[in-house]
Amino acid sequence: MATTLADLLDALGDEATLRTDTIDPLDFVDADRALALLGRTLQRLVDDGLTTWGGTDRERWVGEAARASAGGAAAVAARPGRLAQLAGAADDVVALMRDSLGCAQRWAIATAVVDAVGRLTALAERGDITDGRRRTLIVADASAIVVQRSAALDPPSALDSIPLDWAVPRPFSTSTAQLAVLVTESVAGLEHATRPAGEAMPIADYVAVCTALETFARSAATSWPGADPRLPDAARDAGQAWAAARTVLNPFDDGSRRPHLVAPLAVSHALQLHTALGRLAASSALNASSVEAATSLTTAVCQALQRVPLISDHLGAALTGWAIQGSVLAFARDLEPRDTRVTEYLAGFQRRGLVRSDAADLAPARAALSGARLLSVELATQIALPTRSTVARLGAANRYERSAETDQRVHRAALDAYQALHTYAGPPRGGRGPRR
Amino acid sequence: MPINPNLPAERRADPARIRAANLFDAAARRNLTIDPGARLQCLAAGQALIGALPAEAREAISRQSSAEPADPASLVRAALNVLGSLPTEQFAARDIRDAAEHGRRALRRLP
Repeated sequence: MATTLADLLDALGDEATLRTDTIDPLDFVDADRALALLGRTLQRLVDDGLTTWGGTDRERWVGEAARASAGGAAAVAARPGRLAQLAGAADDVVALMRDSLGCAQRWAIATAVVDAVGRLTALAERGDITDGRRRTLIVADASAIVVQRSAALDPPSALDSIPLDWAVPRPFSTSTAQLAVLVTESVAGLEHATRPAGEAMPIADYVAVCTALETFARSAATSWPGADPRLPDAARDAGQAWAAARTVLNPFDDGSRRPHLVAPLAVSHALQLHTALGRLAASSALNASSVEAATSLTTAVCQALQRVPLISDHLGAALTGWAIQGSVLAFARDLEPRDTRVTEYLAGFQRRGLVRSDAADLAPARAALSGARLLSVELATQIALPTRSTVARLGAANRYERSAETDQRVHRAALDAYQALHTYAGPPRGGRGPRR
Repeated sequence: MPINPNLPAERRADPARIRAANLFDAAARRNLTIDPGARLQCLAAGQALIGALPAEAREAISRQSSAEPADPASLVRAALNVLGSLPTEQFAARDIRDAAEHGRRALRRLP
């Protein structure tokens, strides 16, 4: 299953607590090795900065906890136990999201990691360790206490804690897993594959993601047979808005709108989501799934819907990248006329009529995406999250965002999406289009 | 997360614990629309601080809690501040650290 950093750290804390009464020496070694890995994670967070100005007590104490946790740990020759595996996975996840984190978010992650350090030191101290290591463990725990106290005085907000809920999918596979797992994995995969990193996303990927989200939003209505009567409307509006976000890009191309030998990762996840939703529609039409499967599916769809606004943020970053790099081409004839593009405009749909799109050209795409995001927030907040939700922070952020918006703006976004859908309807510009 | 149901009497009588527990309790009970997971974390934090109290004492705390303002996030933040203001050696007690951890988890779920 896709996981999150919060899941991993919670599981680590729970596993350490479960072993409070253990007398197995392997558990103590395991805890020591897990500490070493968490020390590395904390050090990475400190290196990147926990405050904008740096060099504060916050950095000092987290750094102290990092050095003491990592220093003098047990040899790593033996096979890692459950604690070390969880800590290693958490360390990898923090490394993966490194480029996307700000200071406040790193502080939120550091506080969660320090909680796990506090529990692991109590376990590791009981092992057969050297006096030196025992001393460093005492320092690690003392530093963790200072950090936890500081976090109590200045707790990270729900918004800053969102990276704890970022999805980390399993490696892509085409296995026919359980439907709930497929939905969770595909949406987590979309979130992961669209995360801004280096080169801007190709248009083909963007369009595939929009299409998948359109189907996903529309399918939400069928997942809750007895839900709030407003839910089908919200699902329809969000679906339509995603269709509009895809359609407004019809005049644009970057050379990626062509058959690919191997589907890009985002497209593969989008296709997987389509397959899962097709199976979902078929099983709900036949009323074929068991009560247990239907419940787990509802939970999966509900939690996955909370991730959609985050994916739209990633798509927004792609739009910004295209505008800055000018990597997307279009025929001037398809864009708003400008004095500076008279020659290209007169050239019509010839090669000479091509221009590089800038932020103004992409404004309709940005507006459509922002409408789709708002309507996705509306849809996500129409659904109550299950008690043991793994995306509670995303849910809280969505509710917060919705509470700051008026109903009028939501209706306006739905109307704009409807209008854009009809303005830009028709197939994408065909023929020998521009090539990258 | 371990909850200590049998705390010594002197710890239960600690004013800072009672104040923080009141605030966690108020956050969990005053606003029924908050995230259920956040409410559970608040209840667990209160439980870690003052343990299993007799029903009358619990009711007394609830009555006291009803005087608190209604915003759950502010209540949790205030409770965390009470805990964070304790001297480090007092904060180092496992149950206080547990309560602070529950409180921060609750806050992550509250807008």
